[in-house]
Amino acid sequence: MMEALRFYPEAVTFTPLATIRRERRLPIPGKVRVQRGDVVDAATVLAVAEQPAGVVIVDIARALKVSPQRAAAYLQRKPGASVRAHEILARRRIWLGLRTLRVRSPVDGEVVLAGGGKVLIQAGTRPLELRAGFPGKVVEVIPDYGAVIETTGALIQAFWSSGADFSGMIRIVTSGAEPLRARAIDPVAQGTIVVGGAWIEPSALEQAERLQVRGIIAGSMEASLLPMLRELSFPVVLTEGFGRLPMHPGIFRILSIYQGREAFVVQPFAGPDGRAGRPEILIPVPAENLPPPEPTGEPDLRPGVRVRLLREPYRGRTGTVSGISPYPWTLDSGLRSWCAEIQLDGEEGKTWVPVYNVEIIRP
Amino acid sequence: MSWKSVVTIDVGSTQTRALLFARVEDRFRFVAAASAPTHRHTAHPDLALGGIRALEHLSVISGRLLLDPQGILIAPELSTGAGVDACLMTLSAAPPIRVVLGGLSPEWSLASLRRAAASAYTHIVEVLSVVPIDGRRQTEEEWLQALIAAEPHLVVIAGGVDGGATRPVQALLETAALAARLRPEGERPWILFAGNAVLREEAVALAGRELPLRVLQNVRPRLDVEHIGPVVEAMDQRYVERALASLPGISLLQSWARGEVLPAARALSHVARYLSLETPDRGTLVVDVGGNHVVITAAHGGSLAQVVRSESGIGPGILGLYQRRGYERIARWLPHEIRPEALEAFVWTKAMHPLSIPQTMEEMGIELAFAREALAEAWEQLLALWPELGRSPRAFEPILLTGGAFASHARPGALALVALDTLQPMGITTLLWDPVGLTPGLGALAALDASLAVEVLHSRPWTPLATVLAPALDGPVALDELLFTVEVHHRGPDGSESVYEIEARGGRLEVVPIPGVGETELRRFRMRRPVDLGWGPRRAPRRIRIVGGLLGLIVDGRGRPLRLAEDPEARREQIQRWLWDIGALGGGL
Repeated sequence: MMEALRFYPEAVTFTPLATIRRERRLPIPGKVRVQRGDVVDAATVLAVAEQPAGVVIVDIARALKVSPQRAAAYLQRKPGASVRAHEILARRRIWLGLRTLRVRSPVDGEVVLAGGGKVLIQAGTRPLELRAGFPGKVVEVIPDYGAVIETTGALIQAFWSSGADFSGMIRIVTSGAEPLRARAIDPVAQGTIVVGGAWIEPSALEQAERLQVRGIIAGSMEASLLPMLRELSFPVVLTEGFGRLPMHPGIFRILSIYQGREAFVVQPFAGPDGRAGRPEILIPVPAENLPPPEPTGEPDLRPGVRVRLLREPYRGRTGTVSGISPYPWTLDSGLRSWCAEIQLDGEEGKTWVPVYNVEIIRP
Repeated sequence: MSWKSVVTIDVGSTQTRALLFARVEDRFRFVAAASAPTHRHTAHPDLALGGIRALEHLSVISGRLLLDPQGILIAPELSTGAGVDACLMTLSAAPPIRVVLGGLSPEWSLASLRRAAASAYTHIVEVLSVVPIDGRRQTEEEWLQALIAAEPHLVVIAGGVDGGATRPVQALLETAALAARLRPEGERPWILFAGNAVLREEAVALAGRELPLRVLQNVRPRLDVEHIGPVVEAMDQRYVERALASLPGISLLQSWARGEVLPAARALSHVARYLSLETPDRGTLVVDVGGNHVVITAAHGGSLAQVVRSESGIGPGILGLYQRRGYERIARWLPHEIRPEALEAFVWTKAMHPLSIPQTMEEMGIELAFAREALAEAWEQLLALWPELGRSPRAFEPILLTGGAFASHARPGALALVALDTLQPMGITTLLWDPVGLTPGLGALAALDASLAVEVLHSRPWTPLATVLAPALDGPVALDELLFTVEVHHRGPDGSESVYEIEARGGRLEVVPIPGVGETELRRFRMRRPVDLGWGPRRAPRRIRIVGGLLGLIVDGRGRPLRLAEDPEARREQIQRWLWDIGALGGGL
């Protein structure tokens, strides 16, 4: 007998305590600087690589007044050799040796290629450093690329982040699902990560900039504030999305439990298409015994599973799955889709939503 | 070989779609479709998982066991009926390849290369030109710096008709080879040489053994001849190679597939080319609006013009689309007012959760507004690259609508309106609809065995949506002004006849249901204005046979080009009226 259809929507994790492992990789091969067992902090450089910064072409054939085929015979610096600015790259005696034509390097660098009457000099490199991003222990070295870091503590997978990795002490400034306004951010917030339980008001961004906070974590924000974010000196993390959505109570609770602790926001590396995954908030908490590993895997949609709803008219609401439709349904929009029956939190009745309009909250 | 059954797997950017084709009662036909998330943008991407889940769904839906207990595709088909004889794979999940184009002049060799690059999953990161672009001459050193900074996956060098200029093309080749040598061995770009044939041997010598060079037919052997096919083919191969190397899990699906993995756009072009052979005097248009790509393929007598627009569509590509087109262009298609903040929240939600779909009519309207702009943008690009397509007043026949934006919908008038608003066909044409997304699979089938694909096509796998009659007007007309009348003659299969007259009015869409069985003709056109239905002002044949379809006959009296009211309130009323006219509001199938 055939099985029933199973659906695997996106899944999101927020857990107050787990053993967390994250792979940290350079985008190009380099040199790994840590070993298995090393204890690292967020700023520890795990690996370094060098990216070519630019090249200079020197046309030696033209300068030596010979054909491109003959030019190689006059080279003084072969590929692989380093050169200093003004150092002679090639020379040719003319007029029975009475005069010498010389070609000098215009830059410091390394001769990488010579051919066709030209010499290519790689003029320096740009260093690329991979930092741990959060404190932990190296449990695996990825040769040439980086390492896997393990820590214990809380993990929150957020929706979006405006900037690179950052860290700071958590400071809750709203008493629940309230919008984040300027008056909630007092001078004590300086140098901390300010947490608001709902959306961000523009005035709060201005106040946070004045007080030089390390960052803001909130439920949501109007997308019209994006240009303003580019002018700010700190990043913003949203846990729910754009618009006016309150922070999920479970996320607010975890951040409240760990008020005063240091949180680390880590942006996963982009895939081949340049799209990065969800930003993650890690709050390291020392544990004598390793807590269970963070929930992973791809849970399927089934009765009892907790979900967050992604689209209107229920966007941002949470609930519990009570059933899956036996056949596709026609929605108000006119589209046909398999649906899940959801018991919305705080409501008596149930509603049907398309199976991919929810994300599963991992237990 | 005689194939009893074939499964095709189309790995898209958000959804992986599996289709089952099989011989049923001696005819090879489409049987069932199923899909699953591609499983690409997760913490642990695995595209094989997306394929396996789509096949699991297909097993349940079709009642045919396709996977063994280990999750491996059963092939060939067993005597029990489990499994399939062959698996074919199409792909659009990978990001476009980074391409540098180098040529003699923007008007000739580079124009040809731009057309080739537009027809494949590419992103043009640099253009190197011997002839100055915008009055600025590039030096060889600038070419080199640009090539290094661009980090291309592929460099195409063209230029010079056969026997023509050599020295500047040679310089381009030398620079491309130098830049390629600077990259680590495994990361060197492919170099395609498609220029003056005189330089072929020199190109081979320049590349030596260490550079991956391909010498192709000159894209412009003469000024009046263009061959972009081999360049497009090489771009396809590079795209698939990169995809197989960079997408986790894809190699498992590839190991099941028979023959080469086909880029989805190429599969679509196979279908468009076939359809165009049936209407050689009109040409065919296949439009595909997906999650991250929009593909428009115009085929005429077997020759193709195609645009593959990446970072567009109604999934992850919606963010780029919105950034390029902006609030005003999207909001103009909505029958209701929307704040920019609300539209932006919609965009971000859709981009971050591309599998999610509109539940409300309001959100459906927004998504279709984006589909319109995605299609309009690709259409504009197609006409810019192949301007001759815009010179023909008559519409293509047929126009096939496929892709995620045209998925199964209870009010297909809403989808037909997307095509009418953006493509603005003129004269008479047929809209075909692919609600289950089987067109890429059909294209893959054609690549395996053309006769199989023809057999499936003869079973009419697409849904006829409507016949469209869209006159060109000689100037603005008043709303509801009578443009022409025409009689619809229908003869049922039982010989019964019915005749009724319809009126085409300015600014309105008239939808006339046409029975799906029997024969229908349009007769006795009476022109009240000098409208042009494709045969010249006030002219029309005595009889035009038309097919029915889900919607029937749509008479589009809105004129060409379509004029949206400038006043926002009036425009919203206009949009609302058109949605009402075409049956996109309320009710449903």
